[in-house]
Amino acid sequence: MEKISERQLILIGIAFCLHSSLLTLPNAVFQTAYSDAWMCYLLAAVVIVLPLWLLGAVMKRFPDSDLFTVLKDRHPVVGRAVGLLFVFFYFLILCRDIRLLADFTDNTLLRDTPLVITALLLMSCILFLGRSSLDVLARMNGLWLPFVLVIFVLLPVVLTRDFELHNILPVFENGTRSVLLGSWYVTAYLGEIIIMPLIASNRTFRFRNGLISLVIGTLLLALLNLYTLLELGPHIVSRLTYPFYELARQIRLTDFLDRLELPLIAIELPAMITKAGISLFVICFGLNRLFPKLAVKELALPFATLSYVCSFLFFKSVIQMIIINRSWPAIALIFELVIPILLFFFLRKPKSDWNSSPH
Amino acid sequence: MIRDLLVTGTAYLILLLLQRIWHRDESRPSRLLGYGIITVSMALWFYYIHWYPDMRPGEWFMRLFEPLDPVP
Repeated sequence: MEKISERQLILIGIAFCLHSSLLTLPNAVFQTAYSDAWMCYLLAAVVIVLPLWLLGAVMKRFPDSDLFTVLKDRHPVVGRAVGLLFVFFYFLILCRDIRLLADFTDNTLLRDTPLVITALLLMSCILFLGRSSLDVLARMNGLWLPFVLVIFVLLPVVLTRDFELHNILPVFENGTRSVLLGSWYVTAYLGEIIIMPLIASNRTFRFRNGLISLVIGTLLLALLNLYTLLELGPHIVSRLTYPFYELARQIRLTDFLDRLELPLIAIELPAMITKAGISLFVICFGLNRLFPKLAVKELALPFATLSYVCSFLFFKSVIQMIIINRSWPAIALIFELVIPILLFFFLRKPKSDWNSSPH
Repeated sequence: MIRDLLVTGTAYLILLLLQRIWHRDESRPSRLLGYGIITVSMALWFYYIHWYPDMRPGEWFMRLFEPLDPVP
């Protein structure tokens, strides 16, 4: 099995919490929770701790194996079926991410370029990433993500003078129900962090590492939400398609750097593409682990093609991408919460291992 | 519909034949699956997007999700 370090795995976990949540999700959350939107991320993270802990406990029982291999080895038929469900889930995520990225690029950067061409360009990058190895993807993620993290943390330095504290007060103005509903939307996105045990063995993936990724990703998202609210106010942000992009557009550093959002996108976009590349890799890697005769590199192009087509078949417009955030958790939580609970109870060591074990 | 299936089916058979003639190695299962997926992708693309633009892709997927939407 390919080796990646714990640090690289943590960064992959953060990438899966963070990147997809930056585009259309904030709109859905702001529309629901208004000035309390930042709390939704914290509440959702509490829910996602459970599947992380469950998967950590499952992986402890099977050292040196990733979850796909464990599933296949323990239950050749049912295990493969569950593994295929995970592959299908990350295929859906890939389709959604391609469309999210294509729509975003089309709306903000390449307005005259047809959407299919924008998506094709993005897809070709994702394909080359997906064809590479986990080590390469982890390094690429490790290259871009720290820049993104530093920028997000340093944003207040250039924005503080425009912050209005009354934008987030009073707390719980719209009641707790709106916060809970907002958390419902966020849970599905944070739950994508369950990719960690799928690509790494117990030697690299531990509950502690998952928790670090989740905490960092969640705090950054909550901070970004808070900045956006303080800067623009709940009534404006709930009407914006890409609230965080609008936040970046507010940054003005002297006269010669009044479009600082472009360098920010230049850093964030490759990080998002890398995340999509990892999703494509997981699809091929999962199939390879479940059916060893299938090669990762041979599967990348077919699945890239299928996800490109499905990104247009599944989603009609950017508005739909926002609306679907409301029902997506009902599907996503089957993979992110229900299946991990079932795995915790049903995926046990074979009895022969118990007998041979000294403990 | 039948014409589309015939066209894509024929394309798949041609690709299958080509790969059977050219390569007989350990990566054959991957290529079989790969060509199949690419053929299906092409069929979906042309059927829904190119030949039937009035189908408005995306609506059917949205309808699947509608019952799960907590906001009516």
